[in-house]
Amino acid sequence: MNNGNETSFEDLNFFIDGELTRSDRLKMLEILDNNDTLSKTVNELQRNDELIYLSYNNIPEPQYDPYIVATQKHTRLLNTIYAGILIILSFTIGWQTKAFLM
Amino acid sequence: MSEKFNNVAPYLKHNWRNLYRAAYIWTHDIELATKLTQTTITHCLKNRQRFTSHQQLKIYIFKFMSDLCKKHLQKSSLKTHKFEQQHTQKNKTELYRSPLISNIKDSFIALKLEHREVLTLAIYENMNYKNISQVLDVPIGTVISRISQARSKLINLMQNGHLKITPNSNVWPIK
Repeated sequence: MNNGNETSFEDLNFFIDGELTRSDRLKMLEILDNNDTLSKTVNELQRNDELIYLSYNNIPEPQYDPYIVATQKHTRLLNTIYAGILIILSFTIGWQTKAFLM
Repeated sequence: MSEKFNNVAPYLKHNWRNLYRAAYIWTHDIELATKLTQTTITHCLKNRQRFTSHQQLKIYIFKFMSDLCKKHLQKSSLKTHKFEQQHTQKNKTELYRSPLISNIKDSFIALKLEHREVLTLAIYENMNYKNISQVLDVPIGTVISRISQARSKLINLMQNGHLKITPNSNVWPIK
């Protein structure tokens, strides 16, 4: 926070985003208590944040469940790898057994 | 030595909606937002060994998706992006009918992508400036100025009520 007497717009943002230390926060509260214009701006900033939060709280559903599709893809990849290993292993064992029997 | 972190899949399972919401806010395209979310989840599951904590995972997933989102949007030749249909036709929910919500949404959409990004991470994800700077890979000073500019522009747009872009518009600038 600014050490000077003037409170910048960035200071107000620090305040509403919880980026101030405890003592700076207290100082800011005192400043706001004595300055109606700044207090109004802070209210406006907080109101806008709240409105943004509300406006995107109710967004359209995704086309599909991305988690399920992602995990299925991931599992499919693992299964392919396991299947590949199994085929190679079966082939090797079969070939070794055939060689042993002959 | 740090403990092994085995909660990547459960974390993603419980938090993918937050990821989707951010993607939707940044792109306003249901199809693209779904695809970005799925790609991010797939990538994180493949690289699950690299994560050591929830915090690290959270920063990583948003960073990955933000980069992915920019790449996708930059591919668009005119650097414009179509509004998704629900927006042009107007959402029929009670919430959208509120003029306040309608006004803030239009103002928010009119912001640059870099401004929407910082506000999304601060407001929805409750990230502090340090974490936002890690997600976006920019210095903290840049985060501070972007947040400040974004909120200042929002106030102006809300007060003027004269938006260059109306909800009926088909395109909106990303830069």
